[in-house]
Amino acid sequence: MMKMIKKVLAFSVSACLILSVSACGDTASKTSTAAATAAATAAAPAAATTAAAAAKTAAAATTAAAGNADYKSKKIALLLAGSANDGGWNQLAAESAKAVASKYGCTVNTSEKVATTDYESTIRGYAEQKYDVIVCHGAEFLDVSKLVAKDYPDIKFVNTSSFEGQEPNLSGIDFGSYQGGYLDGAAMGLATKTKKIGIIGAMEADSFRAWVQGVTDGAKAMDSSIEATTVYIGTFDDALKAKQAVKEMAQKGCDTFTQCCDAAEAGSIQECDDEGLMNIGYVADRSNLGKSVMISVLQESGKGIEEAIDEALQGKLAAGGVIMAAKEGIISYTDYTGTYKDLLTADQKAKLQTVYNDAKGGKYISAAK
Amino acid sequence: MSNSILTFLNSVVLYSIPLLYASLGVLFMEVAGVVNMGAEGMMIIGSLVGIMASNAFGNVWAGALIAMLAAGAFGALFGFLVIELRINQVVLGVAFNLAGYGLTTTLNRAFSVDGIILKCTYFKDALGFYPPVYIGLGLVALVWIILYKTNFGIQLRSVGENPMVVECMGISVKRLRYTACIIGAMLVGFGGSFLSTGLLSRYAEQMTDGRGYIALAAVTFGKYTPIGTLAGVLIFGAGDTLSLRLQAGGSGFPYQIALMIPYVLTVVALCFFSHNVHDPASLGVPYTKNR
Repeated sequence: MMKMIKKVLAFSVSACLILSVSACGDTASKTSTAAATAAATAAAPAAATTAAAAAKTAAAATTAAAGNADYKSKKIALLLAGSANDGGWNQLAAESAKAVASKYGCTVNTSEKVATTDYESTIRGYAEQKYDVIVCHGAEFLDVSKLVAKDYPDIKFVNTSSFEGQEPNLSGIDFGSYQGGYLDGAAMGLATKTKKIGIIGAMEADSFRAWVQGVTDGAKAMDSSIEATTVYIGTFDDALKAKQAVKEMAQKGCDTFTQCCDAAEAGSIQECDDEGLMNIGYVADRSNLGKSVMISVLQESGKGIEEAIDEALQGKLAAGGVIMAAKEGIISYTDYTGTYKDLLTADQKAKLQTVYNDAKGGKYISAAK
Repeated sequence: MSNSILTFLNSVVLYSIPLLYASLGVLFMEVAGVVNMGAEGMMIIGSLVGIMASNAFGNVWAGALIAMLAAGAFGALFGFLVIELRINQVVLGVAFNLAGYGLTTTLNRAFSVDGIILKCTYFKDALGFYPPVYIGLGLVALVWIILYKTNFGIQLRSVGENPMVVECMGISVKRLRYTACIIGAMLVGFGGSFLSTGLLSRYAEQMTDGRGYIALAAVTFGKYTPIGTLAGVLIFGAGDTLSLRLQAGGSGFPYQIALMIPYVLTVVALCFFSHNVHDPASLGVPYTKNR
């Protein structure tokens, strides 16, 4: 009897495990055990579909009111290194994927929280299943995208936050990393009183380096005496680390901060709130995270991804690198918000508007320009 | 200079507290012979439940209590699976981590927990410390007293060494291990709750970011003693704080090396101070009565 109970319970626990792996997508692949990795690898595209994406895909397939008959049969994959619910970088991409599914009635699968060790197996998994377009959202995927794209010349690969692509089928798209940083830095340069600003990044990939350079250049363009300090926290999830980073830089005199670390940004903004420091949001409107956010620079990567997928489906997307920025409507400012919304004088606000207008005209695309 | 050292120590202690609670929880289970690789899952559950309950009751202490109960329930389930069904404890721990991540992600998206900005908070003193900081440090002493100066503690340690002898003395091995699992999980859950409601006022998916795994290393480094565990936690915390401080100093210190510091420091400390570590003899070994 006990043996039967044990068997039933063991089966139930295994079923719960499989269900929890399905529910959290590639969260399974975050733990670096052989069993978890093998399970994630074997079922990568299937197990990695989030419940929301699956529901949306089903709804899109059945309604397909605006569906294009040519694209209904198409399959598109989106890979995210972070959570599709982070309120910023990854969520924008996840929402654009849903929008494409609604628009065309095609199949769109999203893999979120893809661990570094699973990049290749996940991308290959989609390629083996003959997906038409595979979008890897983030510079961290680029090396693996290049490796896999060579083996599947008939599939279109898109890697965002990348300045380079690869013939014949990999397109790299940068969403104005330097320009967004420049606008970010310009706002910081005008806001800071101590002339010391703090920048928090998750990792030092090309796009992050460009963003940091942009922030530094934008701030110094407002006041050449400004000192910029950068801390990389090495994580997109650990809000406490971001909070600590702000605390450490504040002890060195920094009074204005910006950050690009997805879900971890809540920590840095909270520390700014707690200590009366100023914050400039980046990628999304971060005023919902705290009242210290004076203004945010929007990086509407979702729009860019939708356009890229459109062009890829039409066969018009060229291999190689392309930059989409303010001119294309990807980079912009939000309104002034929070405690410091009236901090800048009218002249300073006009100066910031000029910077933005210049950006829309094509300036500040890269450090050289 | 002295102010710099004081602020450094302040940060090390303050930001190590969630890890300290998790490590003490893992310690409780490990001295009883139960390997808890699932501390990460228990901790994130504590973080989620802590902020939801704190928001619902308008009181962080109430939230912490509910988080402890929730984590304790998971601890009881963990205990049932390893004690009654004798499931491999390492594999089960990994499963609990996956289940913890999955469950909290699902609940977060269903109830928008990451949209909660907590209005209530712990009292903060002049040092910037909260009561759980002092409670955590005091808990180290309390756990030491329990493990080495009480009958319960001696029984717990005996169960981890040789459960058959304990059984022969007429003491229930199961009861002791269940108790260890529940108390241990509750401590881990409190650590998670303090992370989301004390040090931060928000929840974010996977915000524990591997602290549950570090807790295991801290317990091993500490040779399965409370004071050693505290030392392991503080060493890791010091490495963490140092890595950020070096970058914040603007010295151009390579960030990749800076981020490695806490892990390298832990490995070096393990090499120098953890030789002749005596694991509990029955650690990870399921016990069958009358066998």
